[in-house]
Amino acid sequence: MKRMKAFFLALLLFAVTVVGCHFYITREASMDSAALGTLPSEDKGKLRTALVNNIDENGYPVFGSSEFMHGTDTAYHPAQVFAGSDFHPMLIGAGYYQSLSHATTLASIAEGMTVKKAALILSPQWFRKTGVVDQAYASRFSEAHYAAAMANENLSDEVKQYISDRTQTLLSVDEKTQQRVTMYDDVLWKKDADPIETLREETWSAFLNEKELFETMLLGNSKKLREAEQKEEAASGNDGEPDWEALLQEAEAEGEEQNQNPFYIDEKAYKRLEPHLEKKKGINSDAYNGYQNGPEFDDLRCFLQTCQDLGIEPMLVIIPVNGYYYDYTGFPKEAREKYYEKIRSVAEEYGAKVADFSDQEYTKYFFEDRVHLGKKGWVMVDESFYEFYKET
Amino acid sequence: MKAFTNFIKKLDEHPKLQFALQTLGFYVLMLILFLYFMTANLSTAPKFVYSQF
Repeated sequence: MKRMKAFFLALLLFAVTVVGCHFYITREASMDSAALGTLPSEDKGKLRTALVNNIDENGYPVFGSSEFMHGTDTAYHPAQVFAGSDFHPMLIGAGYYQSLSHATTLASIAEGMTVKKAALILSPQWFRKTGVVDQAYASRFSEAHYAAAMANENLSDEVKQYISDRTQTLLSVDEKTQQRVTMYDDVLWKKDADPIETLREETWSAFLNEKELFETMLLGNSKKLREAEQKEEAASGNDGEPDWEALLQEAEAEGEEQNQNPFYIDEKAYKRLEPHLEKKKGINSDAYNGYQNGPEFDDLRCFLQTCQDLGIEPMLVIIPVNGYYYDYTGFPKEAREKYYEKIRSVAEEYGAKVADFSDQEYTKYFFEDRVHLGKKGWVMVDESFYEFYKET
Repeated sequence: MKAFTNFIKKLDEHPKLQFALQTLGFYVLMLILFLYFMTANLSTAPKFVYSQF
């Protein structure tokens, strides 16, 4: 009996603590940080609260993938170029985020966006025959975004159906989450759930919401973000347009000094690649249809249809391949051209703007390594973000 | 070990302290569970190892 009493007293104390924590976490999670937008982070993209609270009237989401984690220590990464500027992009993505997860995220956060624009950086490697890999998709899947997307009344049933079907297929490696996806579909979209399923969804979502606030609070108090905020504050006077010409010249000069190798990439990346070069020679010479037939094209259409449904103006950023390296591997030029052309035609189908860098395959110092943006690449892409923001 | 068993025996002589420690024990256990669930990765997918292209 005494033990029972002790248990219930502990439960009472615990309940008081949890309620106290809830208020504290909610306050801390409602952070307003200009530095969060350009902070390269794998976790940020999953945290709906962090995104919604920090996309302000001076920015729009920029969706991408692993490039955000590259060039972070240079002066050309968006985190440096836009520090203190009047443009606050929200970079969303990390390795293996692709069009489908970005479509879901956009549908989840669109209502909170003041500037109805979005940019999507397209990596050619997304368009391989396999499309997004199931385990990769599962590892980047955010239930909070999925649930919010399904609850978004402005998103058409066709897009919801496509996202749901693809998600069900790709989550076959994660059965528990797959079951909850069905629950979100029934309760939030189709609205044909029984009271028990509805109650289950409400309880689970309340838990998820608390968990997300907790994780947002941890991100808000992270050392990475504190350091980024210090940089942002130090650059607070630079609120005009960055001097693109000067940045390009600086990038060129740095490249001349540091990137003297056959592919004009960063020396560190070249050193990592060098031991494997022999076996890479001509390896892709039969890729006549490379990057032209993957399921990613339909996922991209889904992203663009999401934009149309939600009244968002999209800009697709076509990132080229490193011409010097791709020539070395024998990847046919015609296949590369066909890939760029296919992206342009998909963009045209939906009236999407295109920032086309396909003519930069042989621009020296454009890449940090075989595929990721480097010094000059970042400057040019940053400029396209800024111009798109300024367009009325 | 002996010190521990002596401590437990002594606790029997102090029911209020015993009650307080039991309450604290349950409370700490609940807090640990709470923190675990707040930070747990809910995905049951096999761990995906990021590799460069």
